[in-house]
Amino acid sequence: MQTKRYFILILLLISVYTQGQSFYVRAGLGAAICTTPHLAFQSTYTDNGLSGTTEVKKGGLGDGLPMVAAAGYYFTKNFGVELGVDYFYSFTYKLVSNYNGDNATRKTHGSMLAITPALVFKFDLDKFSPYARLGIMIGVLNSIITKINDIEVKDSANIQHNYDMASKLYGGIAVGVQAAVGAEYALGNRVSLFGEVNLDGISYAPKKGKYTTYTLDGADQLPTMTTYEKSWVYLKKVDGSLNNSSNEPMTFSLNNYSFANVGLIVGVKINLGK
Amino acid sequence: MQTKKILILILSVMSLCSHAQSFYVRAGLGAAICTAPRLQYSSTSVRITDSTSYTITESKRGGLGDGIPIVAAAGYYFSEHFGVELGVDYFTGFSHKTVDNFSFASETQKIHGSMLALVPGFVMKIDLDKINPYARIGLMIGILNNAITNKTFENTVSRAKDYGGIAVGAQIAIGAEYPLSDLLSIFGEVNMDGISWSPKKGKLTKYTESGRDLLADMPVHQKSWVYDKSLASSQTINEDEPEHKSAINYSFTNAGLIVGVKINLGK
Repeated sequence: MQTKRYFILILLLISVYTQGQSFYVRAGLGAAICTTPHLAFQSTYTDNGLSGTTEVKKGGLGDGLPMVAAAGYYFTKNFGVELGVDYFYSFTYKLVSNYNGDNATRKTHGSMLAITPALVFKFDLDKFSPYARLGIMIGVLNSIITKINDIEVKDSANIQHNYDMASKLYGGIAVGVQAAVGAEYALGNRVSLFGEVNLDGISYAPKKGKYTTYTLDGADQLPTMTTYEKSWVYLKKVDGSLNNSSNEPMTFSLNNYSFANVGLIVGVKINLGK
Repeated sequence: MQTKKILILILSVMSLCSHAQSFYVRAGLGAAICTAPRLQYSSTSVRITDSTSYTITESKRGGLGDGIPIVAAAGYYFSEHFGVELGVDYFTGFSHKTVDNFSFASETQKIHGSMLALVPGFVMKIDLDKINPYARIGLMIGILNNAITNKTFENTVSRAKDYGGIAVGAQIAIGAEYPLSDLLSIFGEVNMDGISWSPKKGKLTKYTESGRDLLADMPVHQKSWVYDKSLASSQTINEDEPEHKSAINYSFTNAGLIVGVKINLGK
């Protein structure tokens, strides 16, 4: 009974604003740069580490390509709500380290699929309709992939080992905020083009990780590796007194990766009418 | 001559939009939480025997973006809907504390930061009946930034300050004004800052042992440092020069709620 009353009340409220009601869908893509990169380090050392350099490089997973698909509803001429699905694919950053001839190359990139419920306001000028949007980003499918190639120096038997590894960090939900300011340009009654500056404030702490590739000189090592050797979990509190069995994943302290960025997104909006 | 022509052109363009021209100033403050925090770690070392021990490590939310934003800005609407603004944003961050408990002593570390930024921005608004929603997008230029780390270890107390360098980021705010009169409005906005800062240098500003100040007698190398993008492992130590360290980056990225007062100055 109570639910019915709320439902009727909501319908009545909506009916008050019928003047500007309209549904729409939109899709777009763009490019973004990280506003909060973490710093990553690569080094070159010789003489058993006695001489060499460490170089600081821009890390962070916020540089990349944002893609968005969203459906929205203007409940008045100026205000609306929207549900967006944001997919972000970050560019790869590369680190090359060399320790006494042992050469390791690391390439890392990440991705995030976020649901973004948002509030939108706009106003209509002649052909242009400027708008702003404020939403909560909920990163539901996130991952960080690192590919490592490690070529060791030749050992005393003149054998050089070559490791190829790929790890995936995944699991856990990321929560952040998104704001955008942009404008639509109407091509007709139904179709508009839009361009916006989009600011994402979000970071992600994965819950677990695993090796997806682990080869030594081309031979797959994964089948013979224990759970402890090939998978791990991130915990808020890591107790060093606990002895992990080989059937359990290794434990690490939580780590956080920045997906915060500012980007330019362009796309198409289709106005579906009432 | 060229400057005059540009000035006349600008004035001409502005006069076309004279219909709703108006100047304003505004000031506000609020609270913000970091949306891209770093993690910091507290640890406790537990001794089992004289030669064996284990460590319990706890992750804690760090980053310097939790805190209080304070803003003062002056703006100019060149049309009914659009304007430009120059903001001066001061942000003072809350302290984040970590404790490392060793078997023989413990070390407490508290870190907080502040940033003074200039924010040239573009504003758009609509005037509804009583409430005037607006949005603002700006470029943040952090010009006076610092991070303070207070450490206590046994009877040693120290304070380090990282400073120097410019931070560049972006800001978007979405809010609404409520006019109290022709002159005065109150505003509330959700403000998002996307910015981080890499300090150029640092120094100890306090170092005491059992209450005795040791800073004055410390060599430059022990009480000051510079952050380098590339660092050689074999450095020749010169006591009269600052130490060289690898560059670091502090996150000031946050989302906050700011409320304040706006004074409409008219044309």
